[in-house]
Amino acid sequence: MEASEKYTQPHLSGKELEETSEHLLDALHNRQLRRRWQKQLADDHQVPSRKPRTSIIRKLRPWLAVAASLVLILSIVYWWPVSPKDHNALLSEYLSQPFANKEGRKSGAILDSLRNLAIAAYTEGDFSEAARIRQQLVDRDSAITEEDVLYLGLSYLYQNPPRGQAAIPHLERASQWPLGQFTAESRWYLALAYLQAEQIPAARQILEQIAASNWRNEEAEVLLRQLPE
Amino acid sequence: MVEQMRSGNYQLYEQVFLKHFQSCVDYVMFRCKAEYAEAYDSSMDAMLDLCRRIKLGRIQYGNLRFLFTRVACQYCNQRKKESQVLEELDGIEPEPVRPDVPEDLLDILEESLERIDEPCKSLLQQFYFYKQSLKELAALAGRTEVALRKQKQRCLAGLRSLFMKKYNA
Repeated sequence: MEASEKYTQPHLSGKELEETSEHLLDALHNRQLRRRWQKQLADDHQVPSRKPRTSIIRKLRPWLAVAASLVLILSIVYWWPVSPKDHNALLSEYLSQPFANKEGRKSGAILDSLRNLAIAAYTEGDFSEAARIRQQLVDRDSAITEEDVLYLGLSYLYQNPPRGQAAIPHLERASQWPLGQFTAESRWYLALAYLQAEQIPAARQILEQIAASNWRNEEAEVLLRQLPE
Repeated sequence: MVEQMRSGNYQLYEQVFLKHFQSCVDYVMFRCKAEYAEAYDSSMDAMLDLCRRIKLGRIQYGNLRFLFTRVACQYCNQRKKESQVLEELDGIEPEPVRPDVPEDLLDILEESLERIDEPCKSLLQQFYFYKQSLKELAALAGRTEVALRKQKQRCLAGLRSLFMKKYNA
C-alpha cells in the first residue's frame, strides 16, 4: 500500500504514522519549492516550464513551411558554386577578433599591478607578454581568479602562431571553474584550442555540447560539419 | 549556504541554481536527447534532490553546476525508464523513485499544516522540511531530545487528526 493511501486509513501505528507523514510532508515541501522555483524561473529568468506553442504560429505554419522551402532552395542556388570553408579557415576567422577583456570595467574592482600589466598587454594585442605576466599571476597560486586562467589560455591562443596546446590546460581549468561566470566562453575557446592542436575528437565532443546550447551554437554546428571524420 | 537552508532560507541556493537552470535544461536535451518539457522536469527534480542532499549534509561544496547537470540527466534517464547510472555520479546514489502523492491530499495536508498550532508547525517544518535533527533542535530549544521526540509524535498525530477531519468531510 502506498504511503498516501496508508495515511488515510483509520488506524495507524506510531511507526506507520512516522513513515507516512515523512513521505507526505516531503512531497508537500517539494511541491511548494517546485511551484516557487517555477514562478521565479518564468518571471526572473524567462525560463518557462513548457515551450508555448501559440495559435498564431499554428495558423502560419503552412506558410512558414513554404517560406522555409524557398529559403532552402535559394540558399542551395546561392552557395552551390562556393566550396565551404574548412575548419582551419573557420578557426582563423573565429580567432580574428580577440575576446574583449572586461576585468578593468568591474565596478569597484581592485586589480593589482601585475594583473593591470597583463590586461594592458592583452588589450594592446601583445599576447606573448600578456601570457608571460598572466602565467606569473597563476603561478603565485593564491587569489587566482577565473579570469586569470581564462585570459592566460586566450593569451596563448591568440599568439601568432596560435599556441593551442599551451592554452588547453588553462581553458580546461576555466571551463570547470566552480560556478564560473565564463564557463560557456571558456568551453568555446577550449574547443578552438583543441582544434588548433589538432585534437579533433576532444574538439568534436565539446562542439556537440555547444551546438545543443543557446550560445555559439550556430558556429559550433558549422565547425562540426567541417571536421574530418 | 547549508546553515541558511537548514533555517528555511533558500535565497542563496536559488540564486545559484536558478541562474544555471536554463543551461542545465540545454545540457539534458543534448545529452539525453530529451524534449524540452522532459529536460525541464528532470532539472527541477535534480534541483529538489540536491537541495535535500545539501540540507542532509550529504554533499559538500564542489562543482555544483557539474553535479546539477549530471543529476538532472540521471533523473531524465529514470523518467525514460533507463536505469543506467552515469559514470560521473560515482559515489552519489540516485534517490529511489517514490510514488507521487495525489494533489488533493497535498492540498488538505497543506491546509492542515497551516491550521496546526505554531510550535507544532515550526517543529515539523524544521524537522521535515529543513532537515534539522532532533538533537540540534533540542539544543536550540534547551530541551532534551526525548522530550522533543514525544512532542513531534504528538504534533504528527495532531496534524493527521486535522487532515482526517477535512478528508472525511
